[in-house]
Amino acid sequence: MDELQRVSEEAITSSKKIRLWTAIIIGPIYICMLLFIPLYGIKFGEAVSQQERTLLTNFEYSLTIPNSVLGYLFLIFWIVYFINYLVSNRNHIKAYIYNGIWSGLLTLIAYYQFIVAFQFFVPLLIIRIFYWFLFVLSLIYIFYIIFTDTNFSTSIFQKVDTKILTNALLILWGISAILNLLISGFENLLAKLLLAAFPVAPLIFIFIFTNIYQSLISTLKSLFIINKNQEKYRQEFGYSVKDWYGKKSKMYKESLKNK
Amino acid sequence: MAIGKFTIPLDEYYEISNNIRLKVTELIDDVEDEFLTKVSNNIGFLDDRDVSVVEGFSSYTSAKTELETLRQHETNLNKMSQEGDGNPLNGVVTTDNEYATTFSGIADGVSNSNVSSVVSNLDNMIGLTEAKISFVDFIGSITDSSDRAILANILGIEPADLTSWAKNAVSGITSAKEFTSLLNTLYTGSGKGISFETLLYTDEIGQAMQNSKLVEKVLTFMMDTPYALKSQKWASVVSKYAGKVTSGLGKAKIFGSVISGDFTSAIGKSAKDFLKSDAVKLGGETVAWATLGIEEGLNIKSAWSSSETDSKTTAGKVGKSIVGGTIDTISNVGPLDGMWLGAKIGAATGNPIGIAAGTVAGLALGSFNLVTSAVNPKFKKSVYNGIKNGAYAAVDWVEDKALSAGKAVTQSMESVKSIGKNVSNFFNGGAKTVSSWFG
Repeated sequence: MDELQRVSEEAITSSKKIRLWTAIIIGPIYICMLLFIPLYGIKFGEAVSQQERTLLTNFEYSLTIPNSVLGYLFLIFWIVYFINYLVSNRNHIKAYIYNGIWSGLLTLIAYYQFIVAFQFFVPLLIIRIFYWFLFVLSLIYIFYIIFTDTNFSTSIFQKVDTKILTNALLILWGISAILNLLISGFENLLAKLLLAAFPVAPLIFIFIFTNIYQSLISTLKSLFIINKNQEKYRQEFGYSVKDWYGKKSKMYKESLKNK
Repeated sequence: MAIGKFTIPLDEYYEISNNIRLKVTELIDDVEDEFLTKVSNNIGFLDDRDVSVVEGFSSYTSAKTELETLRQHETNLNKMSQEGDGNPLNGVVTTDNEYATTFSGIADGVSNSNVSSVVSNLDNMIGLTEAKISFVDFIGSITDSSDRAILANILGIEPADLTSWAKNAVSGITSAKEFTSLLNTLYTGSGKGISFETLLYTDEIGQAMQNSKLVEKVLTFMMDTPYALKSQKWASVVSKYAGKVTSGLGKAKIFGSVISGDFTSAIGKSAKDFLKSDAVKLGGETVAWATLGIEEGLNIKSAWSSSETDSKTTAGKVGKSIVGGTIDTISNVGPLDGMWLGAKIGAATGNPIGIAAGTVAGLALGSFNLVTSAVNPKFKKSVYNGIKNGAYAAVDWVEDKALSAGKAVTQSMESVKSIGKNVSNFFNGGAKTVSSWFG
């Protein structure tokens, strides 16, 4: 119950935040961030992989999402966000669900693009395959928690000591840096040290994104429960009709009529 | 006294001591020869009983004991007449000799290290005083009223109090180290005054951390990793490597010193403790927005004066300048700024994972910026120029449509021109405007 109350409060405060200027300015900036920052990484990766001759196979090159598709995706996501904005004044809980799914899909594209981007920096095919394997595994895990009823609210993070994880990643970075230097010589030392972080990055990104999805899915599941019986939960948590649904909601207008 | 001879003149003291000693020796000899020897030589002529009477004479016995005392004085005077351990002035003489050696060393140029350490101390003090004076001068030199208003807003004081505030702020600084360490705290990592502490105290992130253990874990993990790097001051090394100290950054640094003055006045705590205090919890966000806002303003100014933004209408030029300036700002965002901005933007969209996804994307943006500027600045420039050209083309397109749509629309565009008549004025008030977008 506590969890449901927390989620509904979060949903209502977040949905109230969405204004017209959010839909016009912030929404597109957010979409741009998630769609085009990974693209920046991919372009950079292409440049580096050509320079360092860690050429990928043609198949791997074809895995990137074409720019024109990204452009259309941007427009589609913006339109959907506008619809979210319209819904947000009429039904806070529903808008939060739409918004969650919208952001989930957007983030999924970013997740995929980030993994593709970082693959350009990985010189060994076997490690690239390993990362793809982890990525697919993480997707399977995400789908698994969507379609099972078990509550996965405790995350992997709570089971792992983050300090150990940080150190492990730093050590991996160190190994990657040393290998990089041994293979390609000591010129441009600093550049190579920095670049050596990227081959390790997929591990962090897979870990973080899996966790983000886990939290998203558990929030969405709670929201679905609330959404099925909104009136009951509104009364139970003691919200007014205006606060719970929003100013422009059908319920609020009806309640004004009834008075 | 010859040049290079610095000892106290003791020769007279030795001479007089010696003269007195000679006189004492004479006296001892006289007493012995004229009195005691004569008595002992002639005492045999006396009767045995008389001998004991003479030996009992007080003058005779006292002469004997006085002779002992005189001998003691003689030795003492002998010691006083020459240098050595026995001389009661020996302590003074040794110290004096030491000083004399040091002084003659300095005169001969042997002990330069002593001199130079003294001089460098003086230099430091002069440098610090200069920094303090220039700081106060800098505040005084800001005559533009809107600039003064911005500064005063950030510091939470009245614009009229700025100069006296500056004087108070610098009076607390006692060493150059304090001055620089404050600047370092501000500028390592992000280069723009956004620290992890600011990140942690961002309202959105704070709320999210309270609400969800997961978010807390994700964020602390993400912040821990680059923090390990931050301690290596890699960012400063990279910026040195890339050699990109733009004029904008220069002014931002001066601006930071203004803010650091505020940091210093805070009851002498160490910078780090202070960063964790409530004062920064409230001020940190404003500082972050202000520094970004200032850089944005500067970028827009430079875009404004560039011919690339030339357009058919002033409105078009304003639009291009703002777009171009924003892209320039984004191209300089570091990992920390990226995380912070991403979290802000993500939170404003009002979706369940906005903060986390925004933070990750922002971190990636900042890292790409950092690495590309270190590894391949040409590539970075081409990417952002490509984005800029696309955006300018879009502005041109909108402008053309607007022009062809008729006079009415053109007039409304001209009203935009009057709003943006003075780009600098607009953006000098901009820090607050920008922050209210996201607040």
